[in-house]
Amino acid sequence: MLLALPHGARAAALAAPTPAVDYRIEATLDPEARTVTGRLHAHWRNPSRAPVDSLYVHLYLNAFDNNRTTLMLGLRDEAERWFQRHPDGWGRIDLAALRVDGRDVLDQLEFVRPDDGNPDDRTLARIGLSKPVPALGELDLDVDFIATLPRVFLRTGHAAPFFCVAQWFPKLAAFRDGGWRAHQFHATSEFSADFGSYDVALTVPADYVVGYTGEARTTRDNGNGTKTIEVHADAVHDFVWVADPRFVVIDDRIGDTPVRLLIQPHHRVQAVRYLQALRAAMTRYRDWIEPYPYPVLTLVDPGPGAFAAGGMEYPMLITLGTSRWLPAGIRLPEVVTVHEFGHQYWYGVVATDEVEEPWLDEGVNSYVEGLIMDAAYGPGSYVDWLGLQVDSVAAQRWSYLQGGQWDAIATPSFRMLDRQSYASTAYAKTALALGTVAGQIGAERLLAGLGDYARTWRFRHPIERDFRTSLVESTGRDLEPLLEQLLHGTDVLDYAVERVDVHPVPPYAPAAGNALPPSNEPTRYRSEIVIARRGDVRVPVDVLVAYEDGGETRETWNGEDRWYRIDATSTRQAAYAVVDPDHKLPLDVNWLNNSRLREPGTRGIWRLAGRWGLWVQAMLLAISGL
Amino acid sequence: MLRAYLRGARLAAARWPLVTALWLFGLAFGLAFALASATWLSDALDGSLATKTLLRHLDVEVLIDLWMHHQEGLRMLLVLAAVFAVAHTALWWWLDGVIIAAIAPSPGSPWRRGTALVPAMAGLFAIAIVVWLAWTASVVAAAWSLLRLTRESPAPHVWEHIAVPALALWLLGTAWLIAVHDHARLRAGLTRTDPLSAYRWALGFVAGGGENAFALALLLQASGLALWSVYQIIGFSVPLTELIGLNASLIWGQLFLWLRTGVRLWSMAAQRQLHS
Repeated sequence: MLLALPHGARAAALAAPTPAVDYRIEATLDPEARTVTGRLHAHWRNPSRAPVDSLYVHLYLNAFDNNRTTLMLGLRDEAERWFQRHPDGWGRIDLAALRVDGRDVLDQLEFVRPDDGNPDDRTLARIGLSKPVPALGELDLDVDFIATLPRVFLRTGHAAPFFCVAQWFPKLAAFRDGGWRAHQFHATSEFSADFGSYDVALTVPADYVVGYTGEARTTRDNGNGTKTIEVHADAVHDFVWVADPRFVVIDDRIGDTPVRLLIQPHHRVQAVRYLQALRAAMTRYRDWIEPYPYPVLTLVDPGPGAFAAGGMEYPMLITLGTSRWLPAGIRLPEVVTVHEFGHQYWYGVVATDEVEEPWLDEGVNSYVEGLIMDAAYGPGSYVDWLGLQVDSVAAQRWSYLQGGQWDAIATPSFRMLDRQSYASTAYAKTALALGTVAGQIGAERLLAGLGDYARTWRFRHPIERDFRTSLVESTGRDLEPLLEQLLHGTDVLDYAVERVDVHPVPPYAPAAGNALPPSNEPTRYRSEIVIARRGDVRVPVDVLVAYEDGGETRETWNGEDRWYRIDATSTRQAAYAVVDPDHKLPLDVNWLNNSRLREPGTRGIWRLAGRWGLWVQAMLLAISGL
Repeated sequence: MLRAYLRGARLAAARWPLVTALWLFGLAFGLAFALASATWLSDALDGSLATKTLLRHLDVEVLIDLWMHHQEGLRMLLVLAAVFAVAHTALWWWLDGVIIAAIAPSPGSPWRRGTALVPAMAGLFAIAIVVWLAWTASVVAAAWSLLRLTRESPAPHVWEHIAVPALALWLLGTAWLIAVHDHARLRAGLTRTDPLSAYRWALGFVAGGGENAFALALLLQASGLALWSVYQIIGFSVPLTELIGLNASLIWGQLFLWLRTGVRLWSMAAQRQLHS
């Protein structure tokens, strides 16, 4: 019934969540000291039917506190090099006061390390409660804190006067299924928390332009060179803000949504690229999934030296990244915009756990990002430069093949081999796996299934089981065996054309002495095509056989055995065979072996070899003239 | 300066058989590398449709799979290119001597006289490459230091404001050093001076602004750049997606390299005028 409604009505019919926590925060930025002084009040509701005897609080800025935090160990040499260059770039969060229901509990705060036991990591704290919160009971938490912002290195911090104030306040961990789901800050993982409402008063120097999660209610001049902006946000699970006196504000509107672009003056010429990409993404999400559910969206172009703050998603605010000299055909700002906007759905509204199941937001988002980029920008949607065209599948295959063989898709982010494996697996491999599912059931059906999933789990916290169940129910196809292979295995998918042979069929020759008169029948040929399964992922696969007379045959092999033979005897000869001719299996690790000519060509080879020879010849001449 | 420029052009044009011979040496290297590449590609593409379709469609997926699954072979090609670079450079110690002998008013075969100049040319190349590397390292170190000093600067485009002038300075310095090297070669070839003395003399000659030596060198290099621009403009209009276009493009490329070799001889002949 609900699915028959138009998108707008459907979106309105789905209610926002009951917030698990209400935050009231007063924060003051000191640009000289690079600190934010804050006072936080949180009102938390125990959603379970059992008492809760402790609280878990993220103190994620402490990830930048020393060189042996879990984050820094995960970043390895990268972190060492960074802090050699920026010796004063450290960050941390200090708690000055901590009260639960008015009682001082600062001395009951203990740092915990459930993921790796690292004693130098202080990014997660537990507060033991002398008086447990009863089932469905409530609790008030008050914290006075000072956040020292690191030099922007990874997502948060300053490249003054640009400030990206993220993961900056003591944030309660997620409480799901009767328990806390809390993790340390890892190099490979992002974030997860419960939905809440936020009332935040931000005090900054009067000349600063500020962007934030939510909408500004009031702005007042404090008469001392500062101003205070009161911001409110509902149904979000994080709050971030940025400040920079250099920002140029470009207000736009896409559909019913006000869009606020905060862009650096020297990047102003790139504003149109950001906004066009956003329009492409917003309209397609509206048509494919549901309209953007929040009242406003802020886009942030990081300041000079703060590129590491770009390309990150927060509720109602996304950070981007570009360069003034970037050619139009290299669509980095477009990709970043489409991707980070997609996170308003996959992470923002469909609030999966980015730490434990990163593929549910990054991978699904990357898949839809690819669809949008290809639809909006055509062939060469990612790169169309100097004759080279890279579309979404090529970009994802490139990333996947860099390091996607080590971990299964459904692996917690911090359990993956390294950051390369995380990027290759959570993003690209998942997108290609979904593309492979689309190849089996049709891209439109999969997209419709993703839309149903998103609407079903709007403002909730689905996990893998919910995703799979929703997809199977929505598409009406038994996708479980395929999903199980793709999500939980590290096997690769690789089908190949092993052989294309043609032999003339000799005329019938009976035993000696019984010779038949010569036949006038035309020569017949036996064409033998052998398809091989070189990987261990099994999926049905199409096979195309093309003949020299221009004819073609197609058939589908179930892909189960190690090999499959096509025998065709007729007057025509096979010219070549192609396995998966329509690229329905983008997860296939090697597309070169997907086709085979009976007589290999040479022209394609000489195009490359001839050019390379010419280039080397020119280069040698240049070197000898030095 | 202009007279030297024009006389050099006339001399080079009159010695087109020598230009052709010099170009043929380069062609041998180019063909050898193309053959090696074709052998590797033939093995890597393994009878796939790409052996045909790459002509019309430079499919990035093919390039991705070549890189991911046949990287070792590709690396061997790079090693081969490096070996060719060394061999070709050594060959040009002789050919530079041949050019100088050909533009000098002396009797005898330039090929044979050029052979006698090989040690001097090799020595000069060693000196020139060391000086050029030192220059490159100095510019990189200066730019790097400036970047480090300004790393906390909130100003936009700091990187560009340092890197672009550094690149321009490096290019200008490289052009200057090429002029010095050319005059050192001429000095060593014409007067049989030892490499170090010849290089020292050329440094003084170009730095002292002798006969507008650097201006002439810049003009000659600009001529080479103009030739390259014409080649590129026409080259981009040749459709590579048809067999005839591919062949035309390769022939056009070789014609450009033949002319470029001619510019090399022209440069030496023109700069030779300043020594008389």
